[in-house]
Amino acid sequence: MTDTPHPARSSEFLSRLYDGELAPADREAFATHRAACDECRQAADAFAAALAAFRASPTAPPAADLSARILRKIRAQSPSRRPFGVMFGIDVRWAGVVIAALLVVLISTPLVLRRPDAMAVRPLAIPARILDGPATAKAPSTEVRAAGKTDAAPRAAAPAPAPALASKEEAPAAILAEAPQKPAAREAPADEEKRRYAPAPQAAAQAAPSAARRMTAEPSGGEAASSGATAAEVAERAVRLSVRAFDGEGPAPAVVSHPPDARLAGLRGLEFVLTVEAQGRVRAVQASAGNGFLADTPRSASDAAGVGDVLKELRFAPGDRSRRLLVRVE
Amino acid sequence: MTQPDNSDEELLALARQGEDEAFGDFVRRHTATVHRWMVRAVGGDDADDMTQEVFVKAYRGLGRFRGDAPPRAWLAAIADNAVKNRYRSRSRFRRVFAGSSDTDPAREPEAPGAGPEDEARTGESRRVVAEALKLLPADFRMPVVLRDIEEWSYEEIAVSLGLPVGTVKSRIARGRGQLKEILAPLLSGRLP
Repeated sequence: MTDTPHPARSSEFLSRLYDGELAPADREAFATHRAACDECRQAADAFAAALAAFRASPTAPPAADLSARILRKIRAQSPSRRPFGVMFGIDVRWAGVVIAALLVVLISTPLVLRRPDAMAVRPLAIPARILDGPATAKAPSTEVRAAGKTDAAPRAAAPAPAPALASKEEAPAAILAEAPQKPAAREAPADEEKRRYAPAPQAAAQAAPSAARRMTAEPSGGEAASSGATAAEVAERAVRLSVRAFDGEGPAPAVVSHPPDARLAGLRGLEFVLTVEAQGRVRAVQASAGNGFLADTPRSASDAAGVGDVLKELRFAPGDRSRRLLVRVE
Repeated sequence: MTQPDNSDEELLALARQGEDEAFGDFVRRHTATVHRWMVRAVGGDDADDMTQEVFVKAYRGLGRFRGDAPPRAWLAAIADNAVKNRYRSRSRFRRVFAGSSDTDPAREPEAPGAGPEDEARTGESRRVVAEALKLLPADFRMPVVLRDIEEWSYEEIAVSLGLPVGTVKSRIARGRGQLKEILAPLLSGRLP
C-alpha cells in the first residue's frame, strides 16, 4: 500500500484496486482506511462509478453497409494493387527475379558464344624453339620467322626430337631483329591515329574477316603469287612476322611468343594493327588495308572471330605503356 | 477459396496470396469490433471514417503482418496509431491555420456551445460519457478501451501495442484517473 495518507489520490493505486491487483494485506488496510477517510472513500467510489458508466455507455452498431463501403474504398484506392504484388496468380516478386535471370542469360549468351576461344577448335601444340629471346626487345622493328611446325610458347616443354640448331638460318623458329625501316612513314600524327582507331572494338571485329576473305579471294596475292609457289609449298614455308611501332612511342617491343606457323600461314600477305597492353598481351587486332589504314569494308561477325584470335596469342616483351603495332604476316 | 470457418490467420494468409475475397471476409468479420472501438475512442460521428481507415491501412500493411500476434491485436495496433495520428494532425492543423494556443495536441476540443455539465443536466449522461472519453489524451484511449470495454488482459494489450506491460498499466491507470476527473461532476448522484 502507498505511503501517502490518502492512497486514493493516486490513479495507479485506484487502478490496481479496481483490477483486484492489490495484495490482500494492502486491500484490507485500504478498506480500514476508507471507512474512516471521506476523501479516499469518495475518490474510490467516483473511480468505480466513472468506469462503470464508461463500460455501460451504449454504442450504436455500425451501419449495415459499412463493410461494403470499406471494401469499395479499398478497391477504389488500389484498383491495380494486389497484396504483395500478386497479379494473375503470379507473385511478381519472383516473376521479377525470373525475368532478371532471363535477361542476364539472353544478354550474356551471345557474348559468351562470340568469344573466339569458346568456339574455336584449338590445334594441337606444335613444338617450337626460339633462338633469340628478349635480347631483341630493344629493336625498333622485329621480324619473327617461324618454321612450319613451331609453337614458341611452351619453350620448356619442347620435345626431344627437335633438332639441334646450328645457326639462326637453320632454326625452326627464329626471331630476327632488323633496323627500323622508315618508322616515321608508318607513324601517323596522334590525332590522325585517334580518328583512325576510335571505333576500336567493333572495327577489330569487322576488319579481320575482310582480311581473311581477301586472303582467300585473291589466291595470287602475297608471297605465294609473287614466287609462283604452290599452296602446299606456301604452307610449309616459314612464316615471318614484321612488327613495327605504329604509335610513335619508340621501337616495337620484341615478340616473346607466337602461335604456330600452321595457324599463321593463312594470314600471309596481310597486315594488322595490334593494340598491345603494357604487360605484352594483345588486347585488340584490327585488320589493316595494307597501307597502314584500317580496313573499312563491312564484314560478318563470323569472319571476325578467327583472324583476330590467332594474333591475340602473340606475346610481346612487357613495357611501361600499351602500344599500337603494325604487324605484317609474310 | 475461403470457407466460413477459416480462422483470421487463414484469411489473412489467403489475402496475402491475392485472395481479395479472403480480406473481404476478414473485414466483414471485424467491422463491428473495430467500429465499437472507434465509437469509444473518437466518438460516433467519426467512427465510420476511422473504422474504414483502419481496414484500409490493414490492407496496405498486409505484407507486414507476420502472424506473431493475433490478427485482432494487429488491428488494435493499427487502430491505436490511427487515433493518435488523427488527433496529432488535427492539432497541427489548428496550430497552423487557426492560430490555436492548444498546448495539448492529444486533446479533442470540447463540443461547441455546450459543456459536459450542460449535457448531463439535460439527462444525456450516457452520451456525455462517450464524449468524455474524447477528452482523454490520444495515447490513453485505445489502452483504456481495450482494457475496460474489450476486457483484454494487460499482456494482450502490451503485445498488441508493442509496449511494455508496465507502460500499458501506467497509461490505463492515468486514463482511468482522467476519466474519473471528467465524469465525477456529472455522475455524482445520477449514474446511468
